[in-house]
Amino acid sequence: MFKRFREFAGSISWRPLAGYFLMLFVFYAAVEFFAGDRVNAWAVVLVALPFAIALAWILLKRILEPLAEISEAAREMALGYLDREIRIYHDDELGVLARNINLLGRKLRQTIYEITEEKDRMGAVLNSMADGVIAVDGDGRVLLVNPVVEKALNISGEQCRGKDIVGVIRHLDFENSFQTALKNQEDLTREIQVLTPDPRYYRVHFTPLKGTGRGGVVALLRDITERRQLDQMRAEFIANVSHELRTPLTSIRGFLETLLDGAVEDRETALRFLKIIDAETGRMTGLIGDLFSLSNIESGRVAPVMEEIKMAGIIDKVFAIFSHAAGERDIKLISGIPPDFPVLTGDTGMITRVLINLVDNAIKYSHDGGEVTLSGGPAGGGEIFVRVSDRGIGIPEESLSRIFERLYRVDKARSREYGGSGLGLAIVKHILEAHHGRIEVSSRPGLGSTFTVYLPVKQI
Amino acid sequence: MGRYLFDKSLREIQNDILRMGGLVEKAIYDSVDAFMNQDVTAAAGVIMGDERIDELFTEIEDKCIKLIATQQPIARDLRVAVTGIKILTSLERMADHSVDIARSTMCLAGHPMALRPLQEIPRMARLARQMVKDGLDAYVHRDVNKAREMCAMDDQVDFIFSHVFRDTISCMAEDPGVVTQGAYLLYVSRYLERIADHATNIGEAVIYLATGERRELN
Ligand SMILES: Nc1ncnc2c1ncn2[C@@H]1O[C@H](COP(=O)(O)OP(=O)(O)OP(=O)(O)O)[C@@H](O)[C@H]1O
Ligand SMILES: [Mg+2]
Repeated sequence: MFKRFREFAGSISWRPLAGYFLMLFVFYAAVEFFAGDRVNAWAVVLVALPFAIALAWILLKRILEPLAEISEAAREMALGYLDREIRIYHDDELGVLARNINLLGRKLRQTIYEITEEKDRMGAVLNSMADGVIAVDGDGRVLLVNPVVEKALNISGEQCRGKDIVGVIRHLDFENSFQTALKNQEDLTREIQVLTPDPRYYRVHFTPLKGTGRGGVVALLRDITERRQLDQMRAEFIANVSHELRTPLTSIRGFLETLLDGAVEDRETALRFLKIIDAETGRMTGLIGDLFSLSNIESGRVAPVMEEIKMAGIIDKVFAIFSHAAGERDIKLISGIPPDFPVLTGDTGMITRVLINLVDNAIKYSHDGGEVTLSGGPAGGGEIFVRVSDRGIGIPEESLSRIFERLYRVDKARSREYGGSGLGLAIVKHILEAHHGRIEVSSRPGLGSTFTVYLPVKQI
Repeated sequence: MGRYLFDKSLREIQNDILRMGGLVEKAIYDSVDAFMNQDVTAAAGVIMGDERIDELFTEIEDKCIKLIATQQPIARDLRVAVTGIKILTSLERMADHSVDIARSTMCLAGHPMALRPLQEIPRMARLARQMVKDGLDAYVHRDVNKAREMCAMDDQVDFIFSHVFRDTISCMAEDPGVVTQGAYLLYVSRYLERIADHATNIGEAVIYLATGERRELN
């Protein structure tokens, strides 16, 4: 009890007490002054008025003005202007209040600064992540998405905040996995296809948010579209190679069995069969040879032997190889390579191979009586170009990006008819890569195709 | 039912519509993909998947109708509910067209398709899918601009369609052997064109929802 009183007494400072006693004293003095006499109303007013004015003045200066300033400062703080400090204050209760409010402002300022910095850091981490991030709260509403997701889904993160998860990714598996992760409170990984509107494949890792009040789940999206395509290409490649090898093998076995069954006695038939077997074996050897050199170049096991290349010589050789085949189908081979074509460095054998493959294709996919033109010259930037154009069947637009894949053929039936296996352009591409060059193609179905090879003059 | 519950069931209906939208987007993609690759199994998958879409459709439609009947919403709320039904119906029609495309794939089985205009189909399908996606995104965000832009894409689809149409007819005239293929190609391009039309319906519904304007955009 006594302690409580002490506390109370301690909390009252001397100024109000002194003021109180001063007022009592003045009142007492006034009454004493007029005592005995008839109390004169005018005199009372005369004495009281200055007091009243003085009191009002003190009230205004000491209490109202500082209060107004404090309340203005508090309002501004609430509006977010935390830099505001109260400057005018006296050494009294209001002064203490003002100082505390200043302190509050400073503390808030610092805390907000720290939080902002933390948030910026988090934002920077999220922004620089290669994976997509979607955070969802316990009610299934999106808390945030990072730029990777914004870009992939072509949505703005601002718009997504607070939306339900189906509003962002319309995918039942995604939603269900999210719900499961939330319910079971355990991590979960799923592969899903998202139409953006082109199909992309994501491996999504769901992690429940632990330690936050309302819970939630963070989904990490890794784009595996390319990897899937590679896997698919590899599987396709193996299937194709097996198929390519099986076709000649089946026919070889068929003829061998017939031979063993007695056809070998008939010399003429036997000879005919053996010729077919020979041709089929040749095809297989060719295919395996192509596969082999492809893998050699691709893996870098066989590096190009750099020497001076004279383009004119190579082209003469290539034309000599094809003059017969082209002549048979009445296809004109035209060379527009200028005599002053720059000498470049590279592997003569490999570059010859590039041109053989390109001219071979140009003839193969031309109509009878067509035209195959070679041209070339400096391409600027220390590069030269060699161009092979034909007026053949052309390549449909959607195949253009695929013809350099191994074993890809636009029209399987037609290519096989010519003994093509679809490795030619893949080999070309890899040879050029080994030479730091590149190849471009343009084509109009029905009108013809143009392949342009770019090579640096000097190999570094 | 208070305001809170009413909003909640509206939100639930919208989410259901989006779920169905996801399935429809996939159906469109899968059906065209199956058609291009002549993949009969995938086509059958689309046809079977349509049952789920139909179920969802009746379920959501019932919810909408019940909401309108019991709550008798007015003004904006009514608009939200009615738009929901509109979008729902468009989605359901698109799913049906995907099934039609899948059926064409089944019918064509064994007749390799090699007509020139075939190569326009993926482009057309991509545009149509983009429209559906943008339409649904615009619905989620009440994004009038996106809805308008999306509706403008319909012209491109129409243009490709007329192109494919003429081209296919001339192919069939040149070579009567390809008439069957040509007929299916015409069907498929027509279905895609219809899908794009339904997508513009979604766009119009979104604009109506956001602004109260009713406008024909195609
Ligand atoms: N000049 C061309 N005109 C039309 N189509 C072409 C041309 N060059 C290549 N192609 C297409 O690209 C495909 C791949 O060509 P590539 O040279 O790799 O294989 P290929 O010619 O079929 O067989 P290979 O060259 O292995 O004997 C071909 O099957 C063909 O469809
Ligand atoms: Mg070739």
